[in-house]
Amino acid sequence: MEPLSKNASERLELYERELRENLKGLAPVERDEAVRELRAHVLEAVEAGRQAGKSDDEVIEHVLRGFGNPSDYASEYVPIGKSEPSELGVLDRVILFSVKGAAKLWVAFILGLIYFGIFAFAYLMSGVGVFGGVVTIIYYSNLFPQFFGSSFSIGVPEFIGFLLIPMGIAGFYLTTRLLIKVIRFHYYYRSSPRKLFAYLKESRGTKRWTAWRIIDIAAVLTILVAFAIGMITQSQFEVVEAGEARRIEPITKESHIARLSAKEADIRLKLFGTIDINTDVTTGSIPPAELVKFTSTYNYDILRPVLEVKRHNQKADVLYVPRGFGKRPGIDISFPHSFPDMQANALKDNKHNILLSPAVVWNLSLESLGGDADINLSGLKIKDLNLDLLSGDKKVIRFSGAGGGQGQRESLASASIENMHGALDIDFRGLGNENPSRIDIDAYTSPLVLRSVGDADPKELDVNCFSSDANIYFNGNWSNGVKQITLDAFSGDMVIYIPKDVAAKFSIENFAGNTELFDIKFEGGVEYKTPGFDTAEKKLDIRIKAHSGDVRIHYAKP
Amino acid sequence: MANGGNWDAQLKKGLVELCILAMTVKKERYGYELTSALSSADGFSVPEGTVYPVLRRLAADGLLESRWEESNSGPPRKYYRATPKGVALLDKLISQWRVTTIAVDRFINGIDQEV
Repeated sequence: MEPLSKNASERLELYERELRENLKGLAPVERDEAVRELRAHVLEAVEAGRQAGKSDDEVIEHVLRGFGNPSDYASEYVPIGKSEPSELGVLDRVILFSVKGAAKLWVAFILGLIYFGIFAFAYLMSGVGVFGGVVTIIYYSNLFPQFFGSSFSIGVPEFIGFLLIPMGIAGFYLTTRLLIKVIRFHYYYRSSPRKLFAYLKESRGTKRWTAWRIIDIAAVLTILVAFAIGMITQSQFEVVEAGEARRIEPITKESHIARLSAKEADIRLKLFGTIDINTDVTTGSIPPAELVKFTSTYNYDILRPVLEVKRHNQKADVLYVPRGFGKRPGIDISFPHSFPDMQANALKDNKHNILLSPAVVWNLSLESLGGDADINLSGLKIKDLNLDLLSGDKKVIRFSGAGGGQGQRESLASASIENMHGALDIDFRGLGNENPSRIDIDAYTSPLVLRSVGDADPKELDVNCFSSDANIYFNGNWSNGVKQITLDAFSGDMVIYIPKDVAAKFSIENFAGNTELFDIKFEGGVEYKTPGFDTAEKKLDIRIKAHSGDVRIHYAKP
Repeated sequence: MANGGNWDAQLKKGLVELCILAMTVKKERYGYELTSALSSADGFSVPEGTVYPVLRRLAADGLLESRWEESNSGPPRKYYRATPKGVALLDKLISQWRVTTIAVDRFINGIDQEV
């Protein structure tokens, strides 16, 4: 059909606008329908008029005169239907308002359940042990390396989460619109369900962009965008191979395994019994039967690597912690312990020999619930070290020694070592740290010995002893600059050995114990600088706070 | 009754329902078609604005069912057809109309005889 002439079109639009204004007592759907039907009628008349040789203006004028003025014509409509604002009582309006709100809440609740269900399914599919230990990894499973190159790794839960966003928008609006239509139908017609279906069918496509609708959509979009941003920021996309960030390559078994072995890895161990950590699987002294064996394979059916850990043919619970859970991603390994493991006398026979690859930069977190420990980190690349040692008789931590490997370490960004009971001996000799940052050591009831602290060369060292006696040797290869040392002892004695090639400043507070500084005894605290401190290149700023124990400071033997 | 014109309009408005139901019993019809038929009928022309509110009321009461259909040549059309409930009402209205016209005719004829 040819478009209307300009005058005719303006005349019709004016009439429609006025009619719409006068039909405000009707539901929007009814209002739209009346105007739409009027327009259809007018256009039919124009078409017939054109065939009869009449102008559009002439026909429109004639037809609209037949309808009468808009307010009179509208008055034919309004008394028929119920008017939402004028005919509903206050209580009805409150109920309608409440039901609309409840409908939306209900939708949000249902969507929440759907979200939970889909997420739970996704996590189970991707191997995260939400409902128990599951032996799988998803961190390195990149679903779409073809699109993103090898620079990004998108886990399965994140991907499914993104799919949920458009589903959420569509689901929310379709459901709320349907519910509100049902409510409106009930208030206008109070008719049978069969009529409801016809009403819904007829009222399609009459959506109008009112201010409330826009605000409504904006609110939901804001929530969903916040949700998406949260997921993106939690996802921690990481560059796997910086030089190949733009290279597009298909998934291959080799590339995934290479990626797995090349990555920095977190490992968290929670073990009962005596612990030996070494680096060389070929060490003949370890009986093969006691090896903790790591096997990594890539399963193409489930699109992720599978890690299996065994001890004495007993399978460990391996929980891979993915990104986005407020916890560092990594691998949690714990062996199921039977009742005898819980008996202290049995712990010594419960040996763990753990072999870590020197090719991987480890963030090592070890929690030993009982037993002695011989932790030899020589030759390993340890970035973050977190040791939590509880009971046992003796624990030895070596950064050098059996395997040699001095200077192989890339960096020790931070270390936190906590020992509850059992002598702890930490030897930093040969650490050769390049980017030292901070070392925290807490000792509670048993003697503590720190050797060659200068080889660790931390910018900050913080040692807290409760009833432990501590012997701290500051020998080693200190770098230039001022290092902050804080030592705190409650009831134990503290003996400190300072090398002569390093200048030191002491600020000692001692409440009830004695202080002995280079064979001179003091009561209470003392402030002291070794000769040449101000001009020295290597300085230790040592602050000691003792309560009831003694503090003794000596020069170390070369 | 204020005047003859108003009485005519009220009478026709009441009868429009009957006419619409009658026209939509056997065939679907759209608004313009119904309006044209009613407004061009000899001796029974109704204003164009009368038909659509009646159509809406009949539909709301479940006496008519309707559907929109796109047209190749012109604007979309909303077709109406009488529902079974509408057909039943139509039968009743027709009976009442016939009885009424007979009764009214009697009065009118009586007046004629008296005159």
